[in-house]
Amino acid sequence: MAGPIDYSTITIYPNPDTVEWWEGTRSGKLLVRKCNSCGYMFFPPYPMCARCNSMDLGWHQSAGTGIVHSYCVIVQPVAAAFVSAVPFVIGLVELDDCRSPDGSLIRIPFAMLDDEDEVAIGLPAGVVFEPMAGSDLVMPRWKLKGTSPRTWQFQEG
Amino acid sequence: MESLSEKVCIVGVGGTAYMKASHRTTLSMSCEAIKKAMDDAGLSAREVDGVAGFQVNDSVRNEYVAHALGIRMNYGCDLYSGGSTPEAVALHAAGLIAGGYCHTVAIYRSMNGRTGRRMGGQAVGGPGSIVVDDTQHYNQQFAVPAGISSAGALFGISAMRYLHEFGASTRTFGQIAATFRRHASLNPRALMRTPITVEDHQRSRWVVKPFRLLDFCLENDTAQAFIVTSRERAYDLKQPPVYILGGIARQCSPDPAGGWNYSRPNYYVHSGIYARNRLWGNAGVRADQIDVASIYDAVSYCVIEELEAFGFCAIGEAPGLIADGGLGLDGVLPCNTGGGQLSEGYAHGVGLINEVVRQLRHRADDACPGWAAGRHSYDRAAGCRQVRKASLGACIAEGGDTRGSALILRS
Repeated sequence: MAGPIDYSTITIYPNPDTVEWWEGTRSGKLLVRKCNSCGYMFFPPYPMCARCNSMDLGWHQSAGTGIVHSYCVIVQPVAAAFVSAVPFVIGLVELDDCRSPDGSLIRIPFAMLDDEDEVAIGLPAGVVFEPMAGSDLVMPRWKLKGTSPRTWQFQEG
Repeated sequence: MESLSEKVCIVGVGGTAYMKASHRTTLSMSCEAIKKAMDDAGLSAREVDGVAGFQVNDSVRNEYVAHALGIRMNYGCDLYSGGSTPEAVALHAAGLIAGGYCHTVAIYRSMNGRTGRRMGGQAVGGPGSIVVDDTQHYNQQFAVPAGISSAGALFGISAMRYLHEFGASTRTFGQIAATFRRHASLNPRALMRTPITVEDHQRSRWVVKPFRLLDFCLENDTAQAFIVTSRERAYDLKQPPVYILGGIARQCSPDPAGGWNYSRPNYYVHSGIYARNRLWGNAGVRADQIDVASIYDAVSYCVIEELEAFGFCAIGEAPGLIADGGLGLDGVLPCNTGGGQLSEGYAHGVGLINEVVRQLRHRADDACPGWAAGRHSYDRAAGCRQVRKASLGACIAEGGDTRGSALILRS
């Protein structure tokens, strides 16, 4: 059973490139960068579009839903924040609504709320927002929502 | 543009022991490692005019090392990066030497990787607090609170997708670990010399699924160094020269994203796939001609993705190559013959290069009484770890799925 994450031991300073992303999570929005010139969508929020080199960038508010593309299970924590959380799953989710005109897509890894015996590649998941104790920041996590006829789960051995 | 192939050589290798607790400064260890590499080459400090290190803000800068050793530099540098950096620094030095900007460069990595700053953000005493500094790694403020603060997590996500795509098993990881440990058992320098089986690997505790304890490189304190100089100078030195045929210096995938780029297609394929034609074309040899290799092993899985990306086998076929014993001393591609970073010790890849150099000189320092003169029995049971035919070598390295380097060497 995944336990709580102690965010008070992680210190993050949002910077001019990322501060609006963190403002987004605080109001329950999962934002990705969208280029106002060519439409390319990307994450993390870099200050320039890697497709056309425009710095005229906006945001796309993702519905925050997607499919688990891969995952790993943290058993031994290296950061104090996760000592009570282990074992927990980091899920890599491919967002449903972030395909750019050239076919590129966005996959983002967040800590999952679900336990490892529930998580499988191919399952749908959605974003959930969790306040980070010790700061006014809010961090996204993934939570499974629904089923899929085709899934794959790690078999030990 | 004229080719640099075979104009520059590796002429000396050396290092401190791999230690659990050095009780020494990174400066002290750097001096010992470079001195041993100079002695190996038959060079004095007055004959070296370049010192190039790399680090992640955890080691002494090159000018102090040069000053302490009595080296007057025409070239000094410190690169901020880890895995896949020493191969790149060697190529920088090769270009500078060929251009006449300097003539003999000592390349080193010195780290108290266990008692000083541990990789992955863990404090010396265990899990610690993390202050995210985005100046070097731009993704950290999103990765760290998601739980990704270690190489194990980064590679674990790629490895899991690989297992899914190809129906592979973690027994392949165990075969890699057991092979390298067997090599380490023949290496007096190795930290971990007790042979292990695939079953031992399968029984070791989980760290980051799909990885167990025996999938991980070691954490230790050490400095390792090697020396490069021009072909002309190399002729007068103590050791048979090992020529640099070519290489690749810190290449990237199209969307590098600082080691974290799961949005590119097939992110479990290492970025080396984008550079391998340039690599082999430049070196003038093919992957299937390589006699002995080092493959950067932060975790066992790295070996799979590098073998495939750099063209030693097709994508998805490394498990077959490994299961057939291909990485053993008498396999088709003897690999990490000193035990690698999983079993010999960890120096961000410098120890791996030094072992390939020893093999290409035919002077692996094993149990054979005549090893220093190049006489080997090739009897593994009697403690010989020298590869039988070793004239072409490849040092392949990665710094995450999205970056890599290589050095192709010939004796």
